[in-house]
Amino acid sequence: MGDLSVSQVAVRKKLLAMFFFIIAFTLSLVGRLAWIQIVRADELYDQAWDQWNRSIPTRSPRGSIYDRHGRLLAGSNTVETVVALPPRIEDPRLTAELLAPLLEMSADELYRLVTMHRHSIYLKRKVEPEVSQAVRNLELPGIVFTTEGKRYYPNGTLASQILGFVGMDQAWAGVEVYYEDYLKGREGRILFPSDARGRQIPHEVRRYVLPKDGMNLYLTVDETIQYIVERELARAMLEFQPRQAMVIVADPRTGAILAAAAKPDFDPLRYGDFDEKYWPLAPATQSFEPGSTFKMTTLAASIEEGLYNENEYFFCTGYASVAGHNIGCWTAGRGHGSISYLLAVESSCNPAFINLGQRLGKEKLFQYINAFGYGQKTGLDYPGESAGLVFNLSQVGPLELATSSFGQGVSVTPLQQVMAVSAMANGGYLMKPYLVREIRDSDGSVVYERKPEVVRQVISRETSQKITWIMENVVLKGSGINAGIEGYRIAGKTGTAQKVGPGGTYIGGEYIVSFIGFVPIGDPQVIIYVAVDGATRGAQWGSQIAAPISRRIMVDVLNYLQIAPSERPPLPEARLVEVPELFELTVNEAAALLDTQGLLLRLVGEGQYIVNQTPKAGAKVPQQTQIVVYLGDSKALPGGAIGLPDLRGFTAREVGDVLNWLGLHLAAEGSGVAVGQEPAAGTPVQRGDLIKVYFSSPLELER
Amino acid sequence: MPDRRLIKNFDYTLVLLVMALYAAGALTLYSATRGLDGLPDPLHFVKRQALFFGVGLACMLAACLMDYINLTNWTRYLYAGNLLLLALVLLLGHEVKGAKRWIQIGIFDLQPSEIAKLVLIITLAKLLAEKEGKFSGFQDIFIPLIATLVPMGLIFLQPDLGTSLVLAAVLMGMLYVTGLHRRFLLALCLAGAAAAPLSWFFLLKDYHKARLLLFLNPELDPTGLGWQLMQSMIGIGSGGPFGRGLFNSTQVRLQFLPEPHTDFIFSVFGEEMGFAGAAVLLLLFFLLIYRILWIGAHSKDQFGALLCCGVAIMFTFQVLVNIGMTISIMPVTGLPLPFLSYGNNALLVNLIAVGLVLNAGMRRHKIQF
Repeated sequence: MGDLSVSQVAVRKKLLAMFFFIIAFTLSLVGRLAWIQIVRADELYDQAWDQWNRSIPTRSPRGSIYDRHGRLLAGSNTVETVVALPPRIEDPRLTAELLAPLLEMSADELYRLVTMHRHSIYLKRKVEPEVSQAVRNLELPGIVFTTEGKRYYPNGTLASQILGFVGMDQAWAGVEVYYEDYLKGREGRILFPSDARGRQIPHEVRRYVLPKDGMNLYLTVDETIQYIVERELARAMLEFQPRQAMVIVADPRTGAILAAAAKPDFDPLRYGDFDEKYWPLAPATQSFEPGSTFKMTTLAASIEEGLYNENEYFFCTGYASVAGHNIGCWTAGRGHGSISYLLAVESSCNPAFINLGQRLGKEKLFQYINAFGYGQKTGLDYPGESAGLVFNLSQVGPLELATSSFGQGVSVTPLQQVMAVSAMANGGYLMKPYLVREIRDSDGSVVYERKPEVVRQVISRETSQKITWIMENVVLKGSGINAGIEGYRIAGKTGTAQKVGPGGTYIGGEYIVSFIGFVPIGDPQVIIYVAVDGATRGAQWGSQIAAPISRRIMVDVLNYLQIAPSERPPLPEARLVEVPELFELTVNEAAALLDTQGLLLRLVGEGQYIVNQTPKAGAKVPQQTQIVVYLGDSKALPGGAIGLPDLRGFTAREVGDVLNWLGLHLAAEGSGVAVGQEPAAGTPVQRGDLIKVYFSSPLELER
Repeated sequence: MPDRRLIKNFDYTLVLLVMALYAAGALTLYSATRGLDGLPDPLHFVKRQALFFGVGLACMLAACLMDYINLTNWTRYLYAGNLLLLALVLLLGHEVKGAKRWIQIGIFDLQPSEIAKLVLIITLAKLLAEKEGKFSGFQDIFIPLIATLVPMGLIFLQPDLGTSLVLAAVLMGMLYVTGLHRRFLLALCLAGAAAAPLSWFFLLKDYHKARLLLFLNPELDPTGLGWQLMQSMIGIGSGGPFGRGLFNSTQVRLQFLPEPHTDFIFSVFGEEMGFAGAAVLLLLFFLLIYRILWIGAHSKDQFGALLCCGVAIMFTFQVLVNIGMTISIMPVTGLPLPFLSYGNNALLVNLIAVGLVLNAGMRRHKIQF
């Protein structure tokens, strides 16, 4: 080896250099392999697993929603979805053509779907059982089924705004959305190994990952009370033809919502056909100026702070001068004169409340407004709740203090008012409202139980009792008289608020009339709030519209809840009153006259003056009787051709009377309240014509 | 005839390494091919490869018999014969997947490009050994250059980009080892670099270009070749540190892997044996190449040294490019993995190449009188 030539030594050197190159190459390969097989191993394994296993999701039925007594409000059926596995379809054209008539889809669209480069694709979701059976009978290769849930509602549209609705894959509104995670359950999957071309490998084991059923919600809502509420709302929509009407019924001791609804509402199975502004539960999501019902806040604060003396006298001139503005009393000019604070409060005198507000000062008044929960969300378990709007303390000048004292310049939700007045009713505790009292899993075991939650104590028990007593007087002899129910001790307050337009100015002639009350005094079990927005028929006063609705609901609710009437205080014997003469009066004059008697005014026809009435003047009728009047421009009943009035919402007797005045004949069909007529309202008719009127109960109307 | 001294110098290690690599290949080949559709016998490919391994071993031993120095006498005939075959394959070859690479002779498909690699190594070893490391100018490398470019061009026309690049690598490596001045090597590299854009625009077909670039970002083409690269990576990666076990490649079973028995056999091996197995395999290749270089360094003459050097470059280049392709650090050029990929011609040629190295090793001591 010693005699190597020079060139061979050089070759050896080069070979050594080459050897180092090769070490470098080998190490780079090892390094890269370590990166892939150690560092990225898990990620690449997951990727591999995903492509080796194809799966079709199977959905478990969504959890059901029940009322407080376990009555089903929203259930779920298991339905089938038709799925195509494009790689396994043998004849796409034929498949598309055979399926087209069954699935009611075009053959071209189906062909496009079954030839897509996907391992599976939905052809049609949630088909009827007959359809899936018909498709199954075709025995087409590559067409399979998976199960999904589909909602059904045994009560149709009942409580639709509370429940919300469910789209194809998820809920979109209501408690369905709020409790989505509980209701939806867990998706299952059918897994099968599949080769690179998406073909199922024969003899390979299919694996099932079982779906987990959704949990069931038990609401605080009582189906029966909800039903009563919606029936009366439907009737109110007919009688007063308002823009919107809403009601909340709750338990003032706990904050549990027993019923809540607004009309118009929607059908959760056809939610797309309805304006989306009717989807949410308006009493929780809409805020507006409350009007007089808000005065209870000022009153409660004044009593609690010792600034209210019911025997002190106050002089109402019909307006109050604040910072250069004259703020009118609702009595419009006349004023209450010299009255005690008790009377001023019972008769809802604006200047008296301004006075109380000024005594409190802005800090104290707004401290109570905030303490009662205004300006903040109540925390209801429902999506999209509104917080309303109250002034910031820094924004409050004398004028703002004055208007806030009697419920103007603030914006609150009905739910906030219900919770605030609940606090006045239950001894001073502001409760957190809730809609779901229990959640159970599919085996029936309780996974969540809601306990009533006290947010804070706002006023003392004494103040609560005092304010309850004042509110009782409002129902006994004040504006709430039409909400009274014989034998029951009811506390209440009416409200009439002018509507604020988009520009922040009041809209002339448009009011939201409301009533809030609770029963029975001493042990309040039910609180109710009624609001009617933009009624187009009748006198737009809370006492004339909202109070009677509240009464009708409460009569049925008290009966249903078996709340016995209390003996005391005895009501005036039979509460008979004499019907006043209304001839030639304007609507407002007549309403004021009837209101003090506890009678209700119902209008037929159009015009400035009352030209006829039933029952006639001088008749003795119980309080809360409805006096139907016919309106006209001249002061006599019209002769010759007249426009037929809109009769919808009246009872058969009332319709009979009205047609009788006009010399028309009635052909009645059905029973209940009038829901339709022939000819239509406004059609010129002659004396002696036959008018066909359809009657229906408000319940059937809803279906 | 082989005397005792020759037998004493016979490098058994090299043979054992080759056997080990072949055994790994045979097991992986079985895993990769047993489930193939329309296969008369799950062992079809394994048996055929085993047959050629047997023939190859015989050829390898035969190649040891006569002093390799005699090859220099036949070089011109080997070279001319190979060129003839390369020309014939372009005329008579049957086309598979758009490339004419094989001439059918009975049940055997002759692949002249595989033979060309070894023939070029012999040819260059002879041409360069004659120079004795003395290069005075361009004229000295002119002949080796032409000798390489002609078969390279013919192979490129098949088209077989991978093999023609092996020839280029062999030329460059052997010129380097012979002691060609850096200046010339640099000039050659520059010429190659200058030729690259030209061939890019005039010679390379679109699918070549796509393949060459795809490894940089396989996700660009998730359905075609990029998809294959992704599948290779997914397979190797899902093997993890210790693999899914012999014959357990799910990528193969579910037919996600393209060409699992030829170009992508390493993916199967990597998935089944994991990082540990892959590292051992690379170690085997490294030892193989190390032995070849060691023999080259101890050859009695420059011809033997260059012969070994050429074989080492051929194996190194193919291992680097093939495995690099499966783990996405090298472009897809379609080169088989020596001793593992299915391919009768390659196996025969590789074994004969090892035989020549053994031959050089046996005769490494200059005969001293």
